[in-house]
Amino acid sequence: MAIRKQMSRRRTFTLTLLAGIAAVCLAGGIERAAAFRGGFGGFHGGGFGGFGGFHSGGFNGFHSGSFAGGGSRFGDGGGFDRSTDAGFGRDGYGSIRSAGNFSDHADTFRQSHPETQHDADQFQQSHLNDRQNVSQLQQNRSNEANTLQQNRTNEANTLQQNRDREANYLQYNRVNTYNNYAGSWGGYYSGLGFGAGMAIGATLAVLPAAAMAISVAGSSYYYANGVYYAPQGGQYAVVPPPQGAVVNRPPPSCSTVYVSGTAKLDCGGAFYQSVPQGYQVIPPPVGATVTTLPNGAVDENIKGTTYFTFGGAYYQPFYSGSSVIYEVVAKPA
Amino acid sequence: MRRLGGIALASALSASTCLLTAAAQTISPHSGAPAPAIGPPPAIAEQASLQLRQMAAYVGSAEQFTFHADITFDHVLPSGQKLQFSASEDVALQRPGRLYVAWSGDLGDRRFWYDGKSVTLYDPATPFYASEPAPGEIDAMLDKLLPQLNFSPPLADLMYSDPYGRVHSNIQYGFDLGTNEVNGRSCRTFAFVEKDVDWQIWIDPGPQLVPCKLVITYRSLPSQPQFSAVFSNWDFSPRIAAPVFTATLPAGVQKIQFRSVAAAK
Repeated sequence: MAIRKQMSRRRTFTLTLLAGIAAVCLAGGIERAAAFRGGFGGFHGGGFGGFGGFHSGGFNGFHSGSFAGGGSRFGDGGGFDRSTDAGFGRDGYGSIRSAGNFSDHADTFRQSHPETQHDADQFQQSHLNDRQNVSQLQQNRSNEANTLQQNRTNEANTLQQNRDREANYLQYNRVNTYNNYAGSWGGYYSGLGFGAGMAIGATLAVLPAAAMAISVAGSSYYYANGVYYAPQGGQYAVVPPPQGAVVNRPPPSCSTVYVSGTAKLDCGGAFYQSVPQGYQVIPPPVGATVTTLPNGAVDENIKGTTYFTFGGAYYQPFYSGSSVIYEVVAKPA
Repeated sequence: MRRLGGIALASALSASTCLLTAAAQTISPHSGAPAPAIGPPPAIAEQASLQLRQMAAYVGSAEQFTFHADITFDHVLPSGQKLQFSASEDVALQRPGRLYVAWSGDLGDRRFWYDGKSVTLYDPATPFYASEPAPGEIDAMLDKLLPQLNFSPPLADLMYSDPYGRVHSNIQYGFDLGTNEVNGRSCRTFAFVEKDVDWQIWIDPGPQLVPCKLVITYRSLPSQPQFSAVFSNWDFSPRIAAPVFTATLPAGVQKIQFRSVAAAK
């Protein structure tokens, strides 16, 4: 019965379509359509063949099956980081009707990534040029007048862009390495529970060459590459990052998290903020959200709610958009 | 006038001849047809509007359907470099209030269930799912999903009972790119321009008036990422077992909360 109804509905639509096409034959729509095709002669041109080799290798590690597999793999974590939502519809991505959503977000993104402003403007500009039949001469003159200014902006942006690229490239490589070797390199990301492959409490006879002495609340520590050491019986013990410590360079592999609009660094579960002298270890900021848990986080069920604890912080998982995030919350009562 | 002329023509010519003519994009004089009035071309080409509306009515009025879509989408690095990833999406829909979406992709999978009472989302890479009460009908559910939970299943436009009504008001320009092949099917192609997105749709001329392909370009985002879907296996008489619309979760998976948009701000 349902099928018959369906079939009859299809016939109706087929007839409607035929009538519609007949109408366009009369109205000259075909001529218009043909004219459009003529004008788009170069539209379907090739030139994409060179990308064929792009996907060779290197990407195999994405499904590492890691517990926090929903995490950002590219170190951005912003609203457009499709790696955190796996492309599944955050902000309405993949739908037309919700396009307006991306307007607002684009503004936010530009504020936090000023280096892309220029690119976006450029694209916008060329897009308008393509579509509108504005006087080309006028446009050219404006372009010329703007060139100096643009070049200056470009130069100013180049350093920043290069830095970002470098940072991103490092992050990207690290992520791949991490994914490929997740089993054996589990501690690589964590500056807190593990450092350079050593658990907190491990002792060394000799400090790394790069270690620098720091003083925190009257106690002496040594810091090298994200790891803190305290003198202990003639040796040096690996200790958790002492809160208040200020170091000139943050540990490797940090991501930026925003708490109440302020940027903090999340370095494998140890949090830092920028201070005039360098980077200061701070308590895990309540309200910070991360897309991956620090390695070594332990789950704890408190009154029916799942939390993860690490470095004195409580992380509560949520679905934000279509992806799981972990928010630092106050210690549950 | 045009409509009368169209009917007259349809009766004079065989319908298939006209269809062939339209598909082949040849220009043929139609004796007796009134010359088109000369004036500024409409912002949305007549055929673009008409066929989009017919496709939308066909899909939107269906009581149930399933389809498959092969997706590519761009992820933009902070440097502006675009990386393309793939996913596949399977959709099962029954009006008024049942929907299941399975998403499997390079960057992860998602399962989405809606049974007319609640929506459930599950990322199989995590031991967590979230569930939230939802309105009894798909349209209202989708309307609530995006503003309150900040996501909606990709291709949600096609899940509404009135897809045309959902998208047409934002269209600034629409034009006809003629007939092009998508996986061996000849589909009529239309391009639309909106404030924040450009999109292109390929529509199967029949017997099923369904989209063959959809490409969305997010113009207002840096590097203008694209989302593309190639559709297949449209079935309007599927036999869908009712349990499909109820969340099926592995043992040990824990329920966590959605962080609502209000809470996130």
